[in-house]
Amino acid sequence: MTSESIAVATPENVLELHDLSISFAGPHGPQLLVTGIDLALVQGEIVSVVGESGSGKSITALACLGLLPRGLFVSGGTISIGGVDCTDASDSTWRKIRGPEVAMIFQDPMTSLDPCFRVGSQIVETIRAHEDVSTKIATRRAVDIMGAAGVPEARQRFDQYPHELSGGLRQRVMIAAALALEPKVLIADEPTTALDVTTQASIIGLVQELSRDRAMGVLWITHDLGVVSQLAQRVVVMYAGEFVEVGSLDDVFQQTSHHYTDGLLDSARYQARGERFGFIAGGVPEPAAWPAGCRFSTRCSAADELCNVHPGKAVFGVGHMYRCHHPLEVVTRG
Amino acid sequence: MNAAVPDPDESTVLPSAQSSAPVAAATPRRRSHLADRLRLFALMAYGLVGAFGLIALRVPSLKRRMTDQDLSSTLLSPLSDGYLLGTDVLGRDFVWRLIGGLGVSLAVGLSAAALSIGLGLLLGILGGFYGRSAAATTSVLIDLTWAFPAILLAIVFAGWLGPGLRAVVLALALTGWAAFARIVRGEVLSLREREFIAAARVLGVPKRVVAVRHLIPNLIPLTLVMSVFFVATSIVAEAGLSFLGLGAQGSTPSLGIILSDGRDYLTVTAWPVVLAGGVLTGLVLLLNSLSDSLRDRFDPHRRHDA
Amino acid sequence: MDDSVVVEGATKTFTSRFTSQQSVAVDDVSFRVAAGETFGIVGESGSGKTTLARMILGLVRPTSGTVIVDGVDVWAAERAERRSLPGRIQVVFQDPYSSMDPRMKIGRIVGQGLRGRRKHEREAEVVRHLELVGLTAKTARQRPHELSGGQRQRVAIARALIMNPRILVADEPVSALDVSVRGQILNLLADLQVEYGLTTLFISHDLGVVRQFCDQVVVMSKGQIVERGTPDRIFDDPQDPYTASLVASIPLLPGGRT
Repeated sequence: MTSESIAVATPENVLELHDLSISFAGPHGPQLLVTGIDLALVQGEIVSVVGESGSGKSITALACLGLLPRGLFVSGGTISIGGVDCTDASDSTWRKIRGPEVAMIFQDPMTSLDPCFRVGSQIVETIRAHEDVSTKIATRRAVDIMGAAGVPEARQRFDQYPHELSGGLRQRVMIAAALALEPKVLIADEPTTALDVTTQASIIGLVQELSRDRAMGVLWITHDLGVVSQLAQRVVVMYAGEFVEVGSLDDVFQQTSHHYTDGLLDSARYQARGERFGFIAGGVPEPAAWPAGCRFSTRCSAADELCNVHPGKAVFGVGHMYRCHHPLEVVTRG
Repeated sequence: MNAAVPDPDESTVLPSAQSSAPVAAATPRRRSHLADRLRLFALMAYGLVGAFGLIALRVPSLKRRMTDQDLSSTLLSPLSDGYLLGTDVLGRDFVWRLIGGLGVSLAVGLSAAALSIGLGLLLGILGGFYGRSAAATTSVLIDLTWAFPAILLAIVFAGWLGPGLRAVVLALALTGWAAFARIVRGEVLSLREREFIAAARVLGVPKRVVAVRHLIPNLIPLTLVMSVFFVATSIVAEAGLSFLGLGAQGSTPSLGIILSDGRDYLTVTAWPVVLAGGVLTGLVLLLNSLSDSLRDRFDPHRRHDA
Repeated sequence: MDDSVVVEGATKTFTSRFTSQQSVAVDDVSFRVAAGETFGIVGESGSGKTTLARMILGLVRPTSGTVIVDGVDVWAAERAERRSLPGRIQVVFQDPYSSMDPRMKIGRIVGQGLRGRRKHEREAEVVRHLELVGLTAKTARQRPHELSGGQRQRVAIARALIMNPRILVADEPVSALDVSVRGQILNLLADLQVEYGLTTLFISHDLGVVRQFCDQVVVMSKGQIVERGTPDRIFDDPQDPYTASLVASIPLLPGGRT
């Protein structure tokens, strides 16, 4: 799909999750890990999913590729990629979808790349697994895509092994491999967490550029609010297995409604010297220990009896969703 | 929200990694569960018989049954004439020969393994955890011993201490420790980089104490797996040495001796070889299989989560 | 003795056993930390900050240079003086899981460094320090995997403080924790530092946190100190290009300071 053909009149949902829930097949019966996920990702859009440990963000991402680990399964709702329902897709169907439709990059490129093989050949392998092209053509495409991913001297790098490349370059190779088949959706799970700040900035820039040029939807998962503020057009805040706030970057960061988002922002902000550091008291509850009502109520200073009822989705303005009985007053932050 | 409340220490247990969700163990496989049970049962049976054999070797009235000859009923097949498993070339009751043989195997296997493991642990830790000279010395020792054939040492010990099981055990122990020490050393080299070892040292805990308190408990899985494996190899080695005449002497039964005797009369009857060989093979296979499954169970890379 | 820690010309060169290639992890680093000061060492991975910390803690021998901690030359002192080091300087490591023996109970982990005391005395000290860091006596009977990351770091702090050190080295103490929990630990460290007059060496890649926390800062890159000064000065007027890029990459969140 070249840039020309994307004369977008109506943006197409390249990834759609509807009331998705994921459970774990435990010894005492199924245990919910993620519930009620609704998400629509549009071509060329960058959405960032923010969450900490126990939020379920990584398994939600894995579900979108049919890569849920053994013991986990989709227990409700649907997953659609490029308009096609993939919820109950078989392994072989998923294999056809992964690559051309949806791709993923991970935090540690060292474990995603086979250290025994040259990096270029791994991209070629991906291409030839899906398309019937000669090695020569696949090689040329691989070198091209490596160049597009910002790998300098791509032709020489093609023949190098993963350990010969720096962390940033390895991540670019990962991105090249992910893009080789021109997927509609790119899912990135903490891809820059292990990189130094300057490299992180360049990878973020690269992904933004690629998303724009290829009208590719990007789901970027992170715990780093700084990265979110640099990169995201829309933000999804995830806590204890559900979305607690969704909206544009401005909505979520400036017109914060949910107390968890507020606490998170407070914790991530730098204060003046001598000031106390922001934090949220307590810790994330295990799925088995989720409160029946609002899952954040055990740590929320605004919680009361009403919060014993699980909050449904409330929408404020255009596309700004939150789950809270006592949303913060809309105050524009300076 | 920002009350300076100390973190409550009840309930909330977080999974460690930032980006992983709480996931628990993979579903156990039913088939191997049954195999595990069977194997355990078989090993216990072996163990009990072997233990009994060991005791019997010490009790004259029982030992007699292993050594009493009945030259009128030699080389009988199993289930003939009151002899459940037949007799050997000197008319000795095969059942009792096997029981005694197993007892010897057990005794040799366990003692050789215990000595090897002990030596191996000590030298492995010395070689991995202490300074350069200790490392170099143990390295040389390991390499020298590694290359030394056990049989040669057994012959030397046989010459010095007189032939018999004591020589065998010593020979096996003094050659077997090297392989284990090498593995332990590798493990220690990686363990010592772990932060909790560094923390202990910063806390001023002396090296000796760190080795006992931290290294050894973390070496237990490895030790367990290797021990079982060692017992198996020692048993086979003893059988081999006895087969050659270096091990059990006189009328003391040993699976190796039974095999050796049986070989001479293979043309007449295969039973001694088959029975003794079967018992030996079965034991070694069981031990190897146990060692494998222990290793799998303790494998830190076994995927417990996503 | 005004200065708690004096590092002079510290250098560490690693030589690969197989390729005889040399790599310089720490290159001629010198600085002084005044007593009671919070001293930040900022750098990214590969900058040498961790190796430097280990040299100060007595874990890695410098190829050259001296390290003097609380008046004791760490690498040249007599045995008796070296033995006194655990009572002078302690450490909190980055990874709250791997810095504790997973097979030991918390009580034993915290009390490890206490030697020559009777059992009930040791137990009392352990409980006292657990409470100091916001945990309870019950924690002593638990094992590391039963605690959250934040709780484990508290245990690590208790383990360090039970030795009554004058100097505390915190090597990325909150980097492995959830963002919403970091503040708890940082505030705790700040409070303890004031209460006990600790000299703190705070090692981090996070310039923003260092700015809020530290009195003096050095910035390390590729084994060398490329800039030093007060956090404010470094932020407002970075001289070195690497420092400038670090400062520039700190994202601005609404409501926060630059």
